[in-house]
Amino acid sequence: MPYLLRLLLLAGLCAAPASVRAADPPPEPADIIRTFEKAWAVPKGYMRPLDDAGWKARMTAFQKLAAVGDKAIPALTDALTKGELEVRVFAAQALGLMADPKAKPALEAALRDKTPAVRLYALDALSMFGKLTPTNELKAMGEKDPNRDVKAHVGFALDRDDKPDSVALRKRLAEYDLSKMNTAVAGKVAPDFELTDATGTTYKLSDFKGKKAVVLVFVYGDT
Amino acid sequence: MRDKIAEFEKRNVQLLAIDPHESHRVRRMLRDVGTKPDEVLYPVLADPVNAVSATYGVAFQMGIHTEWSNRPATFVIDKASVIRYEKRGINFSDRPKSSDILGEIDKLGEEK
Repeated sequence: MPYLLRLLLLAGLCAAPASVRAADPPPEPADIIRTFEKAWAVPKGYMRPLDDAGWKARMTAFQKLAAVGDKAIPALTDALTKGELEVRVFAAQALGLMADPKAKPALEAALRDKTPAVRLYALDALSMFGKLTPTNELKAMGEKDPNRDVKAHVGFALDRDDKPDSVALRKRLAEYDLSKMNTAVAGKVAPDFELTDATGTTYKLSDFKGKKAVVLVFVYGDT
Repeated sequence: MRDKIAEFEKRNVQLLAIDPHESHRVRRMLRDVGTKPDEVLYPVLADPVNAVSATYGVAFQMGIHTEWSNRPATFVIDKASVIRYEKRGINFSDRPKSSDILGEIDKLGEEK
């Protein structure tokens, strides 16, 4: 083996233990987004298969970006502006879950994205700064956007009846324990949760223990 | 619908619906179907970051209304908090009938 190569190998071997000893650095936001992009293969049709792993990649990336916090915003606006279709959709959705004023210009530009889902999530994200004002552009979008869901979301963004709390939303996502994903199994104890209904009443699953059986129905929005 | 709910109440069963959106969207959805939030027959819970959907293994699996939403799913949880029935839908209308769910509840054989 040539002397120089051996030297390089040795240098590599010597460097390895040092990097193991050092604490793992937090993941780079751009890497989190790239990892999502690789794992999220577009399925045929609108339904992902039951054994799909893509949804876990999506949830994992959202959680990790929320945990990174403010530093993730530039990578997300970059992905929203320059990414491929699925990455732009992902970035617009992520920016709604972790609203940050720095992302506003990119989100406003995304209202003109050619992909409906990007426009739709950009509307949701912009409404996280408060109910939107009905500008001419938004009014036109609400009337003429070729996608009827986008039109509906213009309405959601103009009519929202609350004061959005983006800090609480981001915190909730950042604190989500990813090891809980997909842990609801027949025969096992139901994973506990605490959620609030439309009137502000909070329900905790374990409060029903010993009192009542519970039927849990996951709806997807307007059913 | 009200009659079906009465069947669940008769069996001392709590119905909980989970919507993978913020609560303003839940209120909007209820308004759109003509129900006041304080008139709903069972709680519709907002799961704004899809955390519960992810825990129950249904998050971001169905592309519907131009969103990545959860797949429709139903779980029956007994009084001891053990999951006794799980159904994850394979299309948007693949959900058990209320009579099927009532059948599952009767199988639990729990005291009313």
